Amino acid sequence: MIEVKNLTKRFGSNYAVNDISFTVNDGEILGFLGPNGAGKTTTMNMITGYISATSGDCIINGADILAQPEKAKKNIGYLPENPPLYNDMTVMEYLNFVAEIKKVKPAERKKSVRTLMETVKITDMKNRLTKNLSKGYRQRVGLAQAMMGNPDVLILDEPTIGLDPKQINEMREVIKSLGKKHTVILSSHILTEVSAMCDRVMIISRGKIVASDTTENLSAAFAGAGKLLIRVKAERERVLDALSQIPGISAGGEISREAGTLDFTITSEEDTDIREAVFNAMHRNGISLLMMKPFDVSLEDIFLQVTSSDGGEAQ
Amino acid sequence: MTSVIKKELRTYFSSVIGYALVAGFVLMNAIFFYAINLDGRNTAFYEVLNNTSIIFLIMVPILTMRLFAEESKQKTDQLLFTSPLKTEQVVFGKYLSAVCFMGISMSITVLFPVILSFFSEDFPTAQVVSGYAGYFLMAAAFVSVGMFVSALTDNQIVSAFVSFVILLIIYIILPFLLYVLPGETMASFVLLVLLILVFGLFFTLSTKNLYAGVTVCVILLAAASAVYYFNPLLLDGFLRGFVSWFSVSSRFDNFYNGVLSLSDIVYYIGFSLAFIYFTINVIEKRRWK
Repeated sequence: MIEVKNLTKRFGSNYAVNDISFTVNDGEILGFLGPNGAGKTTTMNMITGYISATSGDCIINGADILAQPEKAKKNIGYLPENPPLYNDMTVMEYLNFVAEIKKVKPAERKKSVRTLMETVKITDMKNRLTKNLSKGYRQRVGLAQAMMGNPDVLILDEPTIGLDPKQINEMREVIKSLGKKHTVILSSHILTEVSAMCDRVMIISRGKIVASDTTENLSAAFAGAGKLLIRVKAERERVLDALSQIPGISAGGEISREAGTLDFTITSEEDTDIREAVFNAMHRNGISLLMMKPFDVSLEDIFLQVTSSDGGEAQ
Repeated sequence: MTSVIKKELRTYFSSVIGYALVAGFVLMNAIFFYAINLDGRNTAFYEVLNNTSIIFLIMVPILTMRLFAEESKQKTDQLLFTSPLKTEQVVFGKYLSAVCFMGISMSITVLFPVILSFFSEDFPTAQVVSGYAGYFLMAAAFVSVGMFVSALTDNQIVSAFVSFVILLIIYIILPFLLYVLPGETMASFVLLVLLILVFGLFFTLSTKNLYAGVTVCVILLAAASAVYYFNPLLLDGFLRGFVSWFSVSSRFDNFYNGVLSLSDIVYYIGFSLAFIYFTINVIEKRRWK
């Protein structure tokens, strides 16, 4: 379990992270989203004790990272943005070294190195120097490093960066299965990835949390129930006339995407379900309704919405 | 800590540089061994140690340049400092690994005096043994300086060059200064004032309190002036004492003369510990900024 309270990091007069608080429970995967330079990496570096916070606390399984660093760090596995690999070591030597400094018991070292190499599928590469590995394999060795010693908390900074689509899928599976037993925070700026893996999403922008909820709730909150896209085969006036019979809606955004048809965006002012009313209105007026679908708000839209509005404020 | 030592030693010997350094060091000793002992028909092997210790100026910077500079450049320090290891353990591990490396190189050269001892009746065992002790302790002190410099930068070349310049000052310029420095109290007073000002500056920077810094400075300066005015004899030799404190190599003379004094041993170990302490502080500061 990770508790972050009023965490702030200031570089000079510039707030990299500004007073953020959140909790991640056991067995939960939290996705950290944000544009470049939003403070994701800084936050992770503070949680793992790599850099100190200007103010605020990070508590890992009840141990404060600054007050009881050894106890807290024992429970953390960290995969930084660039996997911290020593170029002059082979994969096997490297993982053995990691096992030593993470205080894995000597009797278990061999076994845990072997198991981890199998988990992240790098057994074939075990005798290669890490400097000769491709980005994808480096990333996997980095993940194995983070998982060494079976820590309760995993902090993964952009874990799928540089992987090919097949590897991304495998990596996601690994992380998802990790999420069953571990507390995981992962950062990304790829939104589909976060929605695919995470129980909860936190969007951070300019050092502040701008949204935090499950992906479904976020979509629902930002979509609004009563927004429809329809495609009809009729003249503009007839359609507008038909729509004006329904109270409490406004239509706009008309565009012709298919020859002889028109698309309209209909918004209900009270967030009520207007699908039936729209269908009936079209039917009464003899207009052929070719398509009707609720506006689906993707995480991309939410992301752009919250980060850009925040940016506007700050400027 | 042993894991860090093992890892660093493996790194030294996983590239050609480690072997080249050992070979160069042994070769240098061999040349002097030949010139002084074999060709000169002389059993004084400690002369070889005295002459070859200058190679530390090159060898130590190469050895220590990557200790921390490489880690922060490759960001591998993220692994070390987010692991359950303490900063002290990492720093001591790295220091000891470089010291071990020097020890390994030196242990090969022990062959020369051993060979020599078979062929001479009055072999100066005590002087050679104490010479080796001083040789090793001096190298260890230099390593601590090199490591400290390495922690200040993430550029290995800068690290090596700056360490080289500092070691050059310590090794050659300070002993030379000891001969030419005036023993006057005035010069000592000027040095004392400079030291107080530097201390005041650090004090102000670290407490971020200008008022307190200026107050401390003024009090110390007043005290120094009072000493200079009323009892200038106290300042006599202060300058020399100060310079000789940093003059690591002049301490070696005692060892070389066969005098194993506790104060010299403590001096060398204290010197190393001081720079190890500075290194730990620099690293912690960097992360706590």
